[in-house]
Amino acid sequence: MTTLPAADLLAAGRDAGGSPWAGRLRRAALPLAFFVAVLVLGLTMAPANVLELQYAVSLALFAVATNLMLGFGGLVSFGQGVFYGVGAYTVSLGWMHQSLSFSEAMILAPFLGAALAVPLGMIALRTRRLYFALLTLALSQLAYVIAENQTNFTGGTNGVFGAMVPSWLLVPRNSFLLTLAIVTVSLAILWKVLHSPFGLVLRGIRDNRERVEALGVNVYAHELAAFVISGFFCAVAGTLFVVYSQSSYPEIVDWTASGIPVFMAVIGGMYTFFGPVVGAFVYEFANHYLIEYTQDWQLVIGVVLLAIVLLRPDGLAGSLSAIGERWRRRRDRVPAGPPPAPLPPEGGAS
Amino acid sequence: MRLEVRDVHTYYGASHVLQGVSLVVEPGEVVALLGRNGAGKTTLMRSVVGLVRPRAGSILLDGQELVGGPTYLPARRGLAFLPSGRRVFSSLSVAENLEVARRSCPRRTGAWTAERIYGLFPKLAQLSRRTAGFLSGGEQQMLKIGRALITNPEMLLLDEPTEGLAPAVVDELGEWISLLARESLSILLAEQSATFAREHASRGYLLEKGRIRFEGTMEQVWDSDELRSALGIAARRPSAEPGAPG
Amino acid sequence: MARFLTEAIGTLSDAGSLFVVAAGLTLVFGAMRVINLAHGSFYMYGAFLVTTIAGTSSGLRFWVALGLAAVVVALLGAVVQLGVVRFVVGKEPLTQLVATFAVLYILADIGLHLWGSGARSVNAPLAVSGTFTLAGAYLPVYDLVIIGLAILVGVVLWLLLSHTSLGWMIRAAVDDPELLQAGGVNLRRLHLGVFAAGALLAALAGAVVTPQISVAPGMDQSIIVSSLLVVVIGGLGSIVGTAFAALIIGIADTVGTLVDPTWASTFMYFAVIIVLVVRPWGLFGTPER
Repeated sequence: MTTLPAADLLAAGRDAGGSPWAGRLRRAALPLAFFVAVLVLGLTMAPANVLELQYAVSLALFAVATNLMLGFGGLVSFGQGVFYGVGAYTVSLGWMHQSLSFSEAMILAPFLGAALAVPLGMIALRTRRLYFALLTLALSQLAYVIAENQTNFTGGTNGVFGAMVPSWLLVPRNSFLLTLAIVTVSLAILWKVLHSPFGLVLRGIRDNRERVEALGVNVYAHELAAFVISGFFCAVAGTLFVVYSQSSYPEIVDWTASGIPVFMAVIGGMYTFFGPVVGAFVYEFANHYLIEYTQDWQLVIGVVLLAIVLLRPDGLAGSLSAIGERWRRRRDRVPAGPPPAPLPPEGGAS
Repeated sequence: MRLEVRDVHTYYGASHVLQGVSLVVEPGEVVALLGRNGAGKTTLMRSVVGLVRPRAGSILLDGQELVGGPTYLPARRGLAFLPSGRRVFSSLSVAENLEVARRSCPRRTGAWTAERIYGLFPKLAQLSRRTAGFLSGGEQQMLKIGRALITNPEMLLLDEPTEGLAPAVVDELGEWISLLARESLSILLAEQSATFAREHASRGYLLEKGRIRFEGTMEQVWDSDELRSALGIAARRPSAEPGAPG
Repeated sequence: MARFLTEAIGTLSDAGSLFVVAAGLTLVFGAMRVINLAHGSFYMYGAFLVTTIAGTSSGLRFWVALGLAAVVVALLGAVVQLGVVRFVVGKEPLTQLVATFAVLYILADIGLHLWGSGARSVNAPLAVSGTFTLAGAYLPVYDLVIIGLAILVGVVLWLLLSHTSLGWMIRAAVDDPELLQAGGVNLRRLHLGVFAAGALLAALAGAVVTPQISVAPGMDQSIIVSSLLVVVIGGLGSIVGTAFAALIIGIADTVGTLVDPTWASTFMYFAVIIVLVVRPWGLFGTPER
């Protein structure tokens, strides 16, 4: 039986650590340190800044959930804002129409997101590659138009504002801790999913679709499952937007909003699990401080995106691991190996 | 026109496909490039015309360096590349294919015009308004040669011209090649079929795993043990010897 | 009847300007296999340039502004091609989408510096403003200008692509760019020309609609969505498909508005979804190889 490239990679990673526990610990060290740093920061920062940190944490989940399809499944979706919107609007509308309590809505929203992802995924996955990206973009814009025009139900252009979260969540530290807890649990689940046989097959599809198909795998079912799981966790991230802003409005679902988690993944590095987390923090803090200090935030973000996509397609995580690799090589005095990142031979047309 | 390839190394990603290949095609000469599928024949031709960039080495066309130059240059200098397979502009008609080829090298004028090509291939004249994607394999082969000739080249690079053709068409192809050789075009002919190459080439190179294993006159190549081992041909039976094709 | 004529002319006019923008987008995709998300920026720049050049005059200067805006934006397109797009030709769709989205952001920011964040408007030249009556309906003369331009662009593109050797070369670049290059064509220069032409079409559309809309930041992002819908329905790379799809979108919008204004703007999205479910590569497109 042929092993998939991703399976080889993972096996290599597992063997490197000696005993399984040492390997597991080594792999968990960096995320753990990051988690502790965020926790400590959140508990010690001024309340105004805590809110910003909390928002970045929730966006990290949005980015990782989007990257489940993008980086691991090779499916470029410009429509994940739809599910983010489902999450946010479920909480807001549940409150506005007095039909759901906050905790009911928080629990219901992810399942609504997943349920909506089934038909949308079935439609979108009829198309491939570029058509998939453009069709998901259209779905996102459709959600935007509905949110904007169904004023009686959604509050229209202004959206929904108000006291939709319980009063204990108005304390910045509490809402920060809730967000961090939900995001941490969600990321742990996503990590498990991506490192299960399912995740391996998904990566195999990304790397070599025909080969995986030839092995008898139902590619469509795996992609649809990825779409649904992503929809679930994008909706979780959407509920956290309400925890952050106590509001929902159409702009959170339009196509540029759907593009943001994609950009975060690209910035941070879409071929690693934690790349999008890094990307979300970098993007959100850059965005926040840029808006404060300069009118030209679009220019700066545009230039950064261009620089990354043209110079370092594997994102910041790729740059970091390249630097780490160089450092390790210098330390071990190992001569340089073959050049990285072989490009497909038939790619270049220019 | 003289082509000289000197110690060329070409990579696809990390795989080292050409590992220091050198060869020469003298003016007016027909040279065969033999080797199995994957030996690097196509990569060598793609390196010469600049569709892949060699990482090291030198490719000289009449003494002028091609490595590092633009992809459109070799054709404008008179080197026509005929890739393997059904490579024609499939949505254009036969006539449009020829005109695009002519317009691609506007300064190369000479004896070969659309009329003369239709004269050589009367079938193409009948099909001139047919969409090229719907032609048969043999007709597409004619169109490929026509597209090359209309640029009035001095050298042809033919990549696997017999691949997938019916035996009758292969014989016809052989006649066209002899005709072009008489017009003193230089030809580099990449082939898996040693018998076809033996009929038309005067010299040959044997490529194996990205290196030249053997070179010499076509007779020397034909008699070499290297040829048989490289192409996986069993020991030659004397009865099959008198130039029986196929 | 009068009601029908009014709606029909309005629909044709909207579909016409949409066709001109989308034709530029699909032309670029056809020849280069790049979807340019910054295409809407060229549309916006065309519109803003007309407001700058024509000012408040409503005479000859408007027509001069129209042409000048298109040419200036074509040059801008050439700069974008040389600076960004040529590096993403042949790359993954994601790379192309992110890179051209970055250009959209950058051009939006520069546009804010040049023209500010307020809305602007332009008057149509007197000769083509006002209305005419036909079968009892009062119809805007300017709609005819837009419809005329759309027909002109369609015919010119059709003639170019099917009857000139330059057009054959562009189609050859769609079929097999490698073969074309190895045959002696400077593909980069061909791409440069095609991309500039695409930008010119977007600018022309943006310029010609200025008397009917309020020119403001953000129109880059909204027009790119509608033109993407059009080229996806029509089949990426197909000019004929684009014309059909622009009509479909125009009709969907008009019918939507008549049926239920609150759902009107969703109709064209449903049109896209229905078409793609039935034909995932669009009406006139070919399945991806």
